[in-house]
Amino acid sequence: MSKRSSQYYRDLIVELVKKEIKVRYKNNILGYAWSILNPLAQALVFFVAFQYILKVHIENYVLFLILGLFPWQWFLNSVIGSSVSMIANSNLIKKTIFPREYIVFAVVLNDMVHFVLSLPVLILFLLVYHPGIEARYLLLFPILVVIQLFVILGISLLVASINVFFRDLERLVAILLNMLFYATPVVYAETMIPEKLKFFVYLNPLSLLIVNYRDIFLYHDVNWKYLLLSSGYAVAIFLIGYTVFSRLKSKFAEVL
Amino acid sequence: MKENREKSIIFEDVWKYYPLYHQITGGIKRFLINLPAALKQMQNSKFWAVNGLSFEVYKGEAFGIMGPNGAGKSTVMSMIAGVIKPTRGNVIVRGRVAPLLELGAGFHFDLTGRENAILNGILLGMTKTEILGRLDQILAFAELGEFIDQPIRTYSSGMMARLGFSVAIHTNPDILLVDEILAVGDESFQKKCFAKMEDFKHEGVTIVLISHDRLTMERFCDRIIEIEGGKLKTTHRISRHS
Repeated sequence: MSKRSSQYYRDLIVELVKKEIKVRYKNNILGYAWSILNPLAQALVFFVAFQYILKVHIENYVLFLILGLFPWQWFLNSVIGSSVSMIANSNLIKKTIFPREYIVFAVVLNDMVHFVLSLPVLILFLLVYHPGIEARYLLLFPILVVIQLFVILGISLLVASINVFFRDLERLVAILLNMLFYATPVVYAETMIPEKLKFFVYLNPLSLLIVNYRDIFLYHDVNWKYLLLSSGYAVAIFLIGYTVFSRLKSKFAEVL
Repeated sequence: MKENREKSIIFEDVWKYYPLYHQITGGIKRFLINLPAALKQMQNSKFWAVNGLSFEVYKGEAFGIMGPNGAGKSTVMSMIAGVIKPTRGNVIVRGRVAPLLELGAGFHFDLTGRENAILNGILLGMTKTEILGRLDQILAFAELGEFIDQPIRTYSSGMMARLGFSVAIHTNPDILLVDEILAVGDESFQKKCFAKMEDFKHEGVTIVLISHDRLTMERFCDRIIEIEGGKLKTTHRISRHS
């Protein structure tokens, strides 16, 4: 089983992602609705809390929220799902030599599929609340998705491999993600951040991405600087995550 | 004569130690609070699971490994499967290895038997085309009847064991690793499994078996080694008149 064909790796990833999707939907037509409903419910809560009660003024706030919450949801689900993925598959890892990183790939790609499938809902909201989509900006959507994919893959690989050795990392990750949510302009606008804290936007690839999702769908614009910067982060984070995972993976079977 | 037979597994003076990972798997908090002590302990506390073990397994042989708990049997199996590398010495394994997975490992309970067979086959190293070509045989051997397209959460443990065994033996292995698995499943299925493994032996497939059950081992194996404390204790050759 030394060298396997590229066909094998394609089959592996396709079947693993298919499994994840089937399991999520449990062959249930309502499955799709469920996966959309969660961020929508969250959007409703934030809408009531921030615009209706706290009187924060942001135009098209519902759309604004959705454009932050959908990408955030993908990031959150993938990182949390990956953190426990090695332990959840310990039986396989201890016995077979199939490439372990594919478990993480499958988790992240599954969530990506859900994210992309939420696009029709987004477009529907755009048509209702904010007529006028500019198609040429939408062409940037796939690029943003790919950038986000590599950011998430890198972090997920890192968290998945370290969690094998430090089992309480998943708790720490949950806390950090919760803090990161409020440190990322999901419920508020980037422009509202006080000057002193602005630097944090540059340190956080998710902020950069969410600003651009909003730009292309809502403001018919694109922040090229952020696009470039987030691509740089994507490459760096993916390389770090992949390297750490590759160095640790030969020990997984010993520790699990 | 036998020395000229082709070898499929060779262990040459194999040593394996594990650092005592519980220092860190106990958690980050504990690790950081006791950082100096933890680091020192990680350096010093090693557990030698295998201590200079050498043996050879011939092609087509049924080879048994016995020993008390903690003797190093599982580590040896893991090294044959290639998931653990030896600290010192050489492990040479020739051909495609098929491990028998624990009951339900790699299965998903909401997927059907058919879907799980495909997924499991891929996890064991087959391409989808290869599996689809053998799917009828796999499902027939597992004797699932009309349950094939039911989610496997409706299966009995025996049915799951049959499906798992069936996928593993249809991966076209050169070496089959059997790790106490056959304890599950009913008697007739166990018989069928052993009959299949006999066929394998005749076809030149090497079978490595771990079990506590001496009777089963002696009935099936050509040779049994006993290990204790990671060292070879005894070797029995089983002479069988058949």
